[in-house]
Amino acid sequence: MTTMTDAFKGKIAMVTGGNSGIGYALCEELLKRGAIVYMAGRNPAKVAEAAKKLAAQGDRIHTVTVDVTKQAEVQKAIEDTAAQAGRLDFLFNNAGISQKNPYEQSTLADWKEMIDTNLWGVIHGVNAALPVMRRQKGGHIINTASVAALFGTPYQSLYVTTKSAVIGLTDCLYYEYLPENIIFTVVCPGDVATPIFRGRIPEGAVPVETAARIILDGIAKRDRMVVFPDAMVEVLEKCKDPVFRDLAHKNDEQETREMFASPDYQRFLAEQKRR
Amino acid sequence: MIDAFKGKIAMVTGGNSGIGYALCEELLKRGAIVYMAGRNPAKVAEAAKKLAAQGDRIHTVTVDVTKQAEVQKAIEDTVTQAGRLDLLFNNAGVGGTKPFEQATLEEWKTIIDTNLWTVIYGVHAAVPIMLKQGSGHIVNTSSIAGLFPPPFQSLYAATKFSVVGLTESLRYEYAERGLHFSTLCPSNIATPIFTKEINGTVHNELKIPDDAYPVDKAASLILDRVAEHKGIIVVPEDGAIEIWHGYAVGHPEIEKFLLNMARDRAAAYAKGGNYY
Repeated sequence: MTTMTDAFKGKIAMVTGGNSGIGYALCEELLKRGAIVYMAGRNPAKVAEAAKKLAAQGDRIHTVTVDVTKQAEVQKAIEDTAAQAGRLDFLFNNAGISQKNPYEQSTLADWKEMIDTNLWGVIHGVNAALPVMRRQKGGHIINTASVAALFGTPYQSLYVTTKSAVIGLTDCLYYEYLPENIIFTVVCPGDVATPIFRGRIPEGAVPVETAARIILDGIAKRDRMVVFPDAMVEVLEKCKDPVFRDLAHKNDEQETREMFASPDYQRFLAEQKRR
Repeated sequence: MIDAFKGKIAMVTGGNSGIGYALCEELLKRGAIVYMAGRNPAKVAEAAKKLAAQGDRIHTVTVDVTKQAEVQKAIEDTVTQAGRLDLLFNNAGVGGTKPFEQATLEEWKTIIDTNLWTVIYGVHAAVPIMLKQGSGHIVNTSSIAGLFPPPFQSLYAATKFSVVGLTESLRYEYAERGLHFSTLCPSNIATPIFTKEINGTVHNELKIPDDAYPVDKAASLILDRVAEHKGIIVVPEDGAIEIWHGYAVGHPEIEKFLLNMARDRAAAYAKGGNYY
């Protein structure tokens, strides 16, 4: 019997958005569990720097430069990796961007950026990896969504739209490809202490190392969906009750409005626009 | 409830066929002023003519909802002409059932353009107008495939899940500013969606399932729920709701149901080239 810890031993794993946040923590935890890791990211300098920090874990880390919004780049990155490593056991379609602001402030260009990165990025990854995994008669594709998409979180409508799409897509494929021994898992993190919050880390956020461990444990068990922290699972169940759901959002409303009104948050938004 | 629509200005995209057409008819019956919108002017005119007996409250709009500028113009022109916009039904869409590995990226683009971007364009144009009015109701058509994931419908489900997410998020965001949002999640309704490919090709050999729910009854039920400002409207209100809830909490019976569905569909596809 395979134990959870050696589910990754000697396995080839590629992680997009691997140079920061949950992606970086996944690379680190995968290395600890014995995997051969292809850390993929858009900016070669940042990827090289992040990979260097993990070099102490041994020579099992490789770097890949890829912009997930570009189909040809994703195709090439995945095919090159499979050619170099001989196979591809795990693909983490993890690269993504976030959004939190009133809907009226969003432009159609914001929409395009969000859909290109969070939805097309995943489609490109699955589209390129699936033929490789069908050929090798097995594999595991892990797509990152968010708990925000499990209950229609306000003020994140663009983000929620794309992450909801990722949930629907991944779960369809879970049932569709299970008979072919290709596993699909959708990961729905709650608050994790990552740069996505730009220094405004919420109370109760899970440390990113813990997040990576929870995710890999779920993957080793071949879970269809990994939701965390545990408190989120509870909220999720309760949110099936429309009364609870409406009430929960109403309570958040005042707090969210105050946050948006704060000079701090306005500064953050202005910075984000300049990026 | 019947009065909820009396004298109200309602625009319905994809209004000349299927659920859209039935919604136009039912809206007229309930006293609304209806702007039936569709891509093909001849088809829209013909469909509107069939409803002319309901009175002179029907208007036609030509719009390709996959084109942002056209959607913007159609909605703004309607508001200029009618004075306001009370209800927008972003209803145009396309079905899509095929194994993921057979879908091309071109098909992905078509289904995202048709089922997701059209909704975004509609919302983007209508929200500022409705905020200015201080009221309005946007109804976006998703599907039960937006609530649970039917295997072999990954393209369709991706777009339909996204519409649920978008609409739910906005529903809470605007709840205290007079705007209402509903997601329409039809299951088995007797419409031509069963006979069309993602690229629009019609297959007359494909049948509408015998047990499909009548579309006029569906439209009536939908408007009842819209009048109640219900968030997620499942039609008909049958077992689909149970599957949705069971899937959401990972109920073992529903897991088994979806796995069996995958196996049955794979077998049916291998045998006859479609899933039902």
